[in-house]
Amino acid sequence: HITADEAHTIGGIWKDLDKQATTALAPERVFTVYPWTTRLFSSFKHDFKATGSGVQGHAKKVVGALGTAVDHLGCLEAAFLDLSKKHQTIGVDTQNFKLLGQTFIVELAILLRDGFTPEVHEAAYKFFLAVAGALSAQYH
Amino acid sequence: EADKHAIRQVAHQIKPKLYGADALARLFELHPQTKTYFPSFTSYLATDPHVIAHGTKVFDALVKAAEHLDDLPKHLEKLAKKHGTELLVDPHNFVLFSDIIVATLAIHLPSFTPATHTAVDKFLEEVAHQLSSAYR
Repeated sequence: HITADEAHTIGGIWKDLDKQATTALAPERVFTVYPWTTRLFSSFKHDFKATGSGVQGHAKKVVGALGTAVDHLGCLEAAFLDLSKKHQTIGVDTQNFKLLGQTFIVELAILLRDGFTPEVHEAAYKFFLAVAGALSAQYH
Repeated sequence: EADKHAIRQVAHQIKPKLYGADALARLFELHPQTKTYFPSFTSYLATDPHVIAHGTKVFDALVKAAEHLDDLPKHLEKLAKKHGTELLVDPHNFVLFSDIIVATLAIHLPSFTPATHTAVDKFLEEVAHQLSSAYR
């Protein structure tokens, strides 16, 4: 359960975030640290750097979805109903949602440094856990 | 070899007292159930002497392990036995803690590239695997 305080923290970080920069970096990191996540991205033509056009394009979509999540913290499952179904159709292993969350957390840690306090860390962790849960909810 | 070099490079920069207390406090914050293993602690914040002492111990052990990359199983044998037969810490906690340690390093190190991140992740996975090896 995300508390009102945590929702406030998440909203604040999201508002200040340089979305274009960070969101392309997190996919690059997930593809490097957990190489099996590249499995479904053959259209990227083996370019998994943040500067690659495939990563950039996909990052844009991810940012959009995360923005939706920030705006719908109280009803994530409903907000991600179609997106969850879509990911099963594509064939994404639900564990990968958690891995992307972990790399986002690392990017936030690098970006915010001392500002990434244990409280902010916890709010971010719970946020990505909730997003992963909502994206996994329609798998059957 | 590139991974080993990166791991040693990171180990060299670690300040066990500072990073250890920070990482352990984050573990307690994100996963409150881990507090149950430390019932004698009066506070679970990074400023608490117990948290500092235990965090330092963990990170000292990690730095030492980084000096034994070629004989990790043998080097961690005693510690694995202690966790597996005496402390009986649920081994899943090693995985949870690994992710937190990675985030803590990302905060404190001047540079934490995806390549360094990968090497550290592989190292922590190996350590967690060894520490989980003597339960049964």
